[in-house]
Amino acid sequence: MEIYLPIAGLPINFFVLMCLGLVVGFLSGMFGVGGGFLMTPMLILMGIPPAVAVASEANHILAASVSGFLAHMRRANVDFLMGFILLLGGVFGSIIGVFLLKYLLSIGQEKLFISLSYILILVFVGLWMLIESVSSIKKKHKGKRSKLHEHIWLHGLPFKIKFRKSHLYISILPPIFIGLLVGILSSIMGVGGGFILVPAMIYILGMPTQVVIGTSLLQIVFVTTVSTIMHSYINQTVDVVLSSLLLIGAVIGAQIGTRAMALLRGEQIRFLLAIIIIIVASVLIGNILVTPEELFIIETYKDAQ
Amino acid sequence: MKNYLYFLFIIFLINGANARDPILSKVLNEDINITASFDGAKITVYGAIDPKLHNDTVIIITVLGPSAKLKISKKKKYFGVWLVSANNSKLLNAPGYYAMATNDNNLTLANSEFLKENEIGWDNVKINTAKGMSLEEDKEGYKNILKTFYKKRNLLVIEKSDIEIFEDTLFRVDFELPGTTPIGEYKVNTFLVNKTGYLLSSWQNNVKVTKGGMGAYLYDYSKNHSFLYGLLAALGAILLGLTASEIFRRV
Repeated sequence: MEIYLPIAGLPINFFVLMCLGLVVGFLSGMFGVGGGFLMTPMLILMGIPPAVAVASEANHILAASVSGFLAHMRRANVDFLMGFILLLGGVFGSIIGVFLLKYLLSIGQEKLFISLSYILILVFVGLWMLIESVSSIKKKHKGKRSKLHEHIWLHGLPFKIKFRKSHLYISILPPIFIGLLVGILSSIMGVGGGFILVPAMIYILGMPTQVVIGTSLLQIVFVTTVSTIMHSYINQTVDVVLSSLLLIGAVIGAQIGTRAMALLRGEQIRFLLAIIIIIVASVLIGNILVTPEELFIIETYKDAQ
Repeated sequence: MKNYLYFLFIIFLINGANARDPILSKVLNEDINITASFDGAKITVYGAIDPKLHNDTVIIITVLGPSAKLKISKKKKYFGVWLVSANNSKLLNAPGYYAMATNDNNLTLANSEFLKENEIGWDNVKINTAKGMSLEEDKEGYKNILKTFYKKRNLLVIEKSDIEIFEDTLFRVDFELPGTTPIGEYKVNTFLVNKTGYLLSSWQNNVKVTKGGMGAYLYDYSKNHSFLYGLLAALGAILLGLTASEIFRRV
């Protein structure tokens, strides 16, 4: 059964889309990540215009993370002050990202730019997770434990605030900067940014693990709301048919994934995720190095008015 | 049954009009609507020729999609990475779809002037280029590039000898439109020529391909009320997300 995606402007098989949602939802349920960094490259590989894939995926992530955010809020696992500071950077970053994409669309290089950003981030995060998970599997065997959090020079910057929920007294500059970076990535890559936010909050800001997920979901919900609206307003690239269909598959997949997660240990899960990330990155690298099937791009254009 | 009725209708038409025209042609579906579940459609052309002319004439039917402004850019390798070259060339009026059919296996008409004039065959389609073409290929190369591109997407159909003729007089041909076919007015031209390539009679029919249903509405809304569309998309996602997780938590 073919479904016509009105904004992407092409028909796509309904079941293929369902399966994609299911698989990525399964992975995100299993690994506790949003899954945008897997979904967007897949959509691009399926032939959906990258700018539409990115914007619709931001919209899908909003739908996928809002219930998780509310669940964490009910359990009081959200540091609202930290979330607010992160959002100062995040909202601004998301708007920068939307305009950056507008510029890239106007010069026709958005596809390459999005691919390159993915390759960089995925290779970096994948390798880092691989090393980290392998070394913690080894550590377990030796029986050593590392410190909960260490003070680094970043915490000594000016504009210090007390974050009660996170038991921190640090400068607001690092969280604003992290928020900004994740906001930009969210807009130009169609990711929630959890896979960067979570490690950054734990290792750079030194936040306690139990508030990290809830607070990062707060940031993700608000930043994807802003990028959904801005992408629609500036680039008209949000395909709600696409994002709704993805959501249905993803919600079911996530339930299965969450149950599957119970069967594996933390380091094993991170190791598996690292392998998946590296595979996706390799496919993307292959795509920009291998001679393309079609050497010409043909598209309609409008005269500048 | 349906076909039978059309044929009756055609015979009726012939009786009324045979004094004037040696050929009649009509399009089955003059309005094609692209809806949310659209995955292609068909333009069916049917008609009749004067049976006396059947043996010494050729029927040619062409379908020209709405003309579009197209930009062709080439991918090039820079430092081992494939990039889109900044140079591009612009076509002012390329048809978004082209198809042709005839009942003659070896259509070798002597009268090439006629073919050119009526845009019969992809090589004879008239396309104007914008000033300052910067494509490195030779100036006519864009037609071949477009040909490959269209063929891959089933936007170009040139199959010879696929017009069926029944009882020396009735004919019918289907042109498949792919799911990505552009919207707009399609021109269906039917020509009846003699074996030396001189036109005996011709018909023109129009087919309108429009976007309809939910998809068209969403598309228009996203273009005309971009900000509201975004606001509603965000709100819809929040509601959908909450509903979906509520449903599946209970399953």
